[in-house]
Amino acid sequence: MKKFLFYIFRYFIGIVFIIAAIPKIEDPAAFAKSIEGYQFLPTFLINITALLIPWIELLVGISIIIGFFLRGTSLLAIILFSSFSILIGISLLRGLSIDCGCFGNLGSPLTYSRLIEDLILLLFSTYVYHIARKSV
Amino acid sequence: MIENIKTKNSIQEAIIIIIISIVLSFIYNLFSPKSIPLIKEVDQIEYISDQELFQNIHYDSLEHKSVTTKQMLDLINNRNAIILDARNAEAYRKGHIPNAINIPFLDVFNFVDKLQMIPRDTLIVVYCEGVNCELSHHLSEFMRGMNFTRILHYAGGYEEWIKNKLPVEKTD
Repeated sequence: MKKFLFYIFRYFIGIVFIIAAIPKIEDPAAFAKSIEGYQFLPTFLINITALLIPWIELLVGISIIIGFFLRGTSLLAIILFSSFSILIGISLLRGLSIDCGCFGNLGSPLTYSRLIEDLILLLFSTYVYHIARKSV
Repeated sequence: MIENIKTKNSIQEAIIIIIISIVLSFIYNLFSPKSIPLIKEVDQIEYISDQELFQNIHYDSLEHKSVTTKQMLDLINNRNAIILDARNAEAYRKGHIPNAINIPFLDVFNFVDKLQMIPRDTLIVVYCEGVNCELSHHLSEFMRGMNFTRILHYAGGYEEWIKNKLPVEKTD
């Protein structure tokens, strides 16, 4: 059962990351605008973040599926999902009416369901990291 | 001891992934047709002059121009323009600029009928949360696609309105 969950969670996280990364890599300017909407980064860091985050997501997505650097990638998944959750949580509390930017595409408003999704994925990543540390 | 080594290895692996991501993202951005500058320039807001504002001007000269808070007050008091709030319904309910109509851009297709009722040459001012929000820009692009010809932004948005301690309307 443990092994089954380990594989299911890995594939699930991997697919989510890959689906999230591709549109952002294709159109970094749109993702930069989404980041800007959150009003948490200084202007000079917005574009660098918009360029870098999708590539980390893509590499983590692929690596977590194929099992490459599993401890490192699951640790990065934990860091990413924690950061997203905190950011989304704070933005919701601030009452910001913005585009989520979660999957790069425009038209997905920031809602509490996004926060719950991120927290579930954070839980999955923590499980994968825990097993990966034990087994490697 | 072993746990420490495992943690150290995990961090090392994570750093390697980050370094590869940095290299790939920079190379991709160099050759991508949609590449962006590494450092974002601060957007300059271009304000419309009073003279321009109260003349019958059209799309080309208005594009991306903004009204000031004072001009916004004049427009509201004289009912010279339709004010559109591009934020979501919840934000609008909590407080909005008086007389503004809510057209949440993220749900815009449900509001097309409402937009269709507005004559295309009406002077329209769109706003959203503040200087950094994009919803009003997306809404104005969308409306230009519907052949609206006189659209302006209120770049300061709801934040600047509140900052100036101006009256707001709330809906229950």
